[in-house]
Amino acid sequence: MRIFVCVKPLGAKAAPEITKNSVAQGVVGQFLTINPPDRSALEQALLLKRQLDNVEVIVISLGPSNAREILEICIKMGADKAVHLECEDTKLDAYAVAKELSKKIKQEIFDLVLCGSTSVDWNGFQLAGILAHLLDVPQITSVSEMEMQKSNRILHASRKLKRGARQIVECNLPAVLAVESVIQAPRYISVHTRIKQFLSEPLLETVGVDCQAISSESLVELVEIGPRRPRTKKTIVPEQNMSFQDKMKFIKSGGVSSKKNDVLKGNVSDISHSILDYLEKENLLK
Amino acid sequence: MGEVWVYVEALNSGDIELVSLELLEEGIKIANSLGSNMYAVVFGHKINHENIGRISQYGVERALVLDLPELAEYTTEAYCQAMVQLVQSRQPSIIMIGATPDGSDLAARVAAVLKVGMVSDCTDFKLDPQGRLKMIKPVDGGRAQATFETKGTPQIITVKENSIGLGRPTYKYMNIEHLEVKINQSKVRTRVIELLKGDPRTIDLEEAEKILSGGHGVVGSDQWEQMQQLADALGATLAGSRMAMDCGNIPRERLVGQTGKTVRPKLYIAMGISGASQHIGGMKESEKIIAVNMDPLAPIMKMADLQIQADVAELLPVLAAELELRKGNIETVKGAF
Amino acid sequence: MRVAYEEFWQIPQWTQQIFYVAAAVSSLSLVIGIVSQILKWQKCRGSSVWQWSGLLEKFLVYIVGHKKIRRKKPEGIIHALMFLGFTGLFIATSILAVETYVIKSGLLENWRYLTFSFFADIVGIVFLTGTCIALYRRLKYGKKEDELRPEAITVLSVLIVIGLTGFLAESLRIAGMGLPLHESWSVMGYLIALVIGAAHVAPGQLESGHLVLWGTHAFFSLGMIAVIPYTKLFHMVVSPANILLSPLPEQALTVLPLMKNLEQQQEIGAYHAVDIAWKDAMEGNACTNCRRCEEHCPAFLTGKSLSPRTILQGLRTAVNSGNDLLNGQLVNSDGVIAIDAVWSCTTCGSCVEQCPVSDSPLKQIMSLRVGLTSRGYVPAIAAKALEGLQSVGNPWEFEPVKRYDWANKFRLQDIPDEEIEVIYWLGCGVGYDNRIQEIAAATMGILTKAGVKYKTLADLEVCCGDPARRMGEEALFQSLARQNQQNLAKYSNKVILTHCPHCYHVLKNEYALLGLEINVVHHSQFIMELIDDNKVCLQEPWEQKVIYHDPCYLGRHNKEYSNPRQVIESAPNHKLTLLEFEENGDGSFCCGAGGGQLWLESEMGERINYHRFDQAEEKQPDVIATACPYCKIMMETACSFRGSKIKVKDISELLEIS
Repeated sequence: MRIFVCVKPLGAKAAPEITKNSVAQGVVGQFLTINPPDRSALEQALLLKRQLDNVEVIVISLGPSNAREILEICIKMGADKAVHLECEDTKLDAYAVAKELSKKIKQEIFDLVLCGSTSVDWNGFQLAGILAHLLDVPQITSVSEMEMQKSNRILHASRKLKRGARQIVECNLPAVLAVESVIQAPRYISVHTRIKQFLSEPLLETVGVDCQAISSESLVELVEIGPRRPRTKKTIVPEQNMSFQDKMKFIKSGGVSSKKNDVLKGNVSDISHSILDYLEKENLLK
Repeated sequence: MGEVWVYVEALNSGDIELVSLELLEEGIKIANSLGSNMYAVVFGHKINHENIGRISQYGVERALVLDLPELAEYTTEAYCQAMVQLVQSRQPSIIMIGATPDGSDLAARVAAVLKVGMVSDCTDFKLDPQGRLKMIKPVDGGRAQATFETKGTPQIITVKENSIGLGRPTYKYMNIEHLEVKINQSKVRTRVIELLKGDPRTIDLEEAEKILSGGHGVVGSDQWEQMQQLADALGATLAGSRMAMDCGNIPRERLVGQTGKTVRPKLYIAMGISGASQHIGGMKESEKIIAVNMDPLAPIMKMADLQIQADVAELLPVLAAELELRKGNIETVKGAF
Repeated sequence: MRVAYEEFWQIPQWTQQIFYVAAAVSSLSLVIGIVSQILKWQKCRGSSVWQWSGLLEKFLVYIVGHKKIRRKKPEGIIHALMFLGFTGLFIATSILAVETYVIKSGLLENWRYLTFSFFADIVGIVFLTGTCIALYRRLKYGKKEDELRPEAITVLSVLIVIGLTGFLAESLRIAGMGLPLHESWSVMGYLIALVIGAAHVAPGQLESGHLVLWGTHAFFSLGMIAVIPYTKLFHMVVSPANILLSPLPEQALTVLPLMKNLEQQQEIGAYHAVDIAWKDAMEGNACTNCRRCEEHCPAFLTGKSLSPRTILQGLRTAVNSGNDLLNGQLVNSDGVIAIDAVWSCTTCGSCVEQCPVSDSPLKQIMSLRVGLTSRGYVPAIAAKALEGLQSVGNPWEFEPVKRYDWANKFRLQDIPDEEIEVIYWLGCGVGYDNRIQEIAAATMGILTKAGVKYKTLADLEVCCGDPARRMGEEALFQSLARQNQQNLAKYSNKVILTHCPHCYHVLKNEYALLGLEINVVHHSQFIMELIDDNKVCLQEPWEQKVIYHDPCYLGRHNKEYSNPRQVIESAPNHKLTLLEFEENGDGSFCCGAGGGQLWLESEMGERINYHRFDQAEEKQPDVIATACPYCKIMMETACSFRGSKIKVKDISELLEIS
């Protein structure tokens, strides 16, 4: 069974540069990291490799030349092969990246494509969906567990829904799965693993790609990036419990509760009312 | 100008996802600015009409309903085909979807099929002078905020729950259009086997939306019993601090803190917890924090949205009783419809 | 009659021949045993560090002088008796051999013979006294389940038999010789001979009795020699050798070897038995199972799965029998050492402090941790801390600016570099916990009042690397160290001041291994200097009973016991009564946070800090004073858990009370 794992490198170059990295002078902060959900995806693939026979795990990544380090680490952690699509542009959107990845994957035999649910820098949540469409295969997202059924062509995946719910979905291979978390936490990548000599050159294939052409496939454009300015959330309060003064206070504050509150004291009955009012206001009371 | 759609996600229980309701009023505002119409879009099978009725409470005047057997359970490809066909026939300019596991799943695939851009997990959006939607979201772990625009029509956006908030209900008469599409079953290659609901009592702390947490100030098995009952009544998961664990009141899996779990629930209620740094590190990213402590200067107080000086022992039974009362009222009100 | 040694008195030729054959066999067995053990050790691939310095001191003070062995009484004294006795008898036998085979005559005669006889008997008495008391204690106090008990009883019994038969044979000879007066110098032998003489045994019977006892004595003696390498007696050879080749005890904790050329090695650390060094394998055999390490190990004493002794014995078993080294869920093997035990260590150094044969279970645990961590087998929370160190330079993953922005009120960055005398090293704790900020703020307050010109490195400071190194992340430690080195380089002529003993230890001892000499001072030392110079002066008197808890990394690791105590006692205008723990100074009981335990926290048994806090409570202090941020947090946590009114303060905070 051939499993492709898509990983995204994160690091000083790939991440948005809004906050000044004050430890830029040295070693700390300059290590490239693997996007943590992709790390889980890789761990899931390696888990399948341990559980089943004849599993080949191929890591694929689109990134600048220094992202090679990430692929070396993946092989050191147990992947069989890696493919590096070299492209210096780190501002490509999900569609462009998926297009290029799918081009390469289509050339190969693949049974399963795993990737992380999202990447922690841009939080796009799309790669799996686009990739599945371009490869014309089914998709399952928010996966926390997966199990191959006896025939090795049918997969059962457990999806993490909200409030702890789980949905078990069945699909035929080939398919694309977006991994949210894994049952066994990914192993720590030690600095020694990063810096030790990479001796498996033949396992890492580097492919040059046409960056210009790829970026023309982008469907999303970044307009601006700046400091956080969260939107003021609407709240409503059950009117019967507010005194006139409170209503005025509420209107003046624009409905936003600030953290600089006074400490509520008094008898427990009043306090209970206050707590429950607050919960109702915040839509936290079912 | 094309239609503005708000995709309304219905839960299996019959309720409607909060984020879908939050988007309704916004959809109307945007449609008005563009001089076009807003449609609430509902997919499903044997859809509960009471549910659809709820939508009209938020000022919605038009709804598109697809009631087909293939749409009984959410599957990516069936829902995607349905959405794509609707889009191709009606050409909306904007589609707004709640960023839920299913919503994000659907949005990504639909956008890919239509070859248009999609921006997910947004917390805000604005129309620009040209009528294009500016999509705003936190990036880089919340350290910054980015604004995007997509290429192509429709513009698809998914929005995080609780970013917009729920407005006051405005009842309007709603016109429902029932539509039909053809779903190619051979291209629906996933099947839902089972749905396991999450029980707040047993789910992982990291997935709990509401957490009721006890510390040194909750003393004795009686009080912890009351804590569990209060948690059940609130639909919250019980947790605790290091002190609680060392006293044997909670197991290791329920420990919140540096050496336990790091949680980001919507609601974190800290009862009798002083707030040592090891604990705070595990819960400081909670959306709303309520702290109850005898000491008004306890470290946890200054990070709480609601600070309460009270004796946990006294408060617990009274709070539980008051909660029961309110729930009773709500049931009565609901029944009136 | 000649006053001289008579070799083989009345021993027939045939007996002598058997004796020589037996001696040859016995010696061969001894040599083969030693050689085959050395060959087993040599299979280990790690590079050994042999410490040749101070050989004379090690020999005289620690081997002959039994300095560390005598710390435990009465066991230490009893062993001293056995040691002196055995060594004395060994010397006596050697002198006899020299007389018999080399010099052939003339050495042991007249006064030399008399002195020799006296000496030989005295050491014999000492030997028997020691071994008999030891056997008595083993039988009376030894636990029946102890699997080492049978061997101990057997060996001691054999030694006693050797001693007794030696005296009996001697007395029979003396009696057989007719009780010549000069033989009275062999005091014990002569006494017993008198008794035998009084029994009027026939000479023929004396001779045959002597032959039998001599033969028995020879049999057991040669037998004992033959089995030395295969029994606990091997410690007689290996343990002194280990003492001679290990660091001097007072340096044992500061001289931790550095691993070089990490990039060129595909695997590091001790993961397989053969990864350890020759010398470490030898340490396994040098361990005599005396259990002094266990009796002072905070993890062992609070019910964790760690015993420093079983770590060493585990190494020994793995090397000798070819077992796997580690066992545990992550590593999927069932070796002799549980991973859980490896992660339970607080690196307090008590085991090294106590070990009488200069073994270092700490060093072995560190190698095991390096083996595990470099391969990624770290518990999840520890992994988070290490990832935090990799990405933002501190184990709590806070933004670097949080390390120093709380100190902005001190306006430190305004002072130009040329004027500053002191660089205040903040450490990571200040960005994490306000209780640690209090320590730094108090210290800075003292510095400001005393007119010291100082500044911090602000965002150029990253973690000193202690948590990384203690958790076995050697490569991460080295990269953090190199980064700090770059930024400290321009301040190499200034004093670096820190309130944290862990930072102090790393900057002082471990950065030097990487080539950076830093003039670092702990705040207890600096404050004491300020007090001596009368630069610290406070108004309000404060009368309290203060018990001082020695931090492991200030005390045991760096031998600084006195300055903090002096600060307490000479705090100007304060009347602070200094109380002491039962276990204080170099025997201080760890607070439980070191060795990465803040992130490795073991589940089992009692919490180490609660145990220590209870020890404090017994002395009924008003304040627990300490000189380490970790110790302060651990004692405070224990204090609030126990609901106690005792205050916990760093020594710098004691001075700020006004």
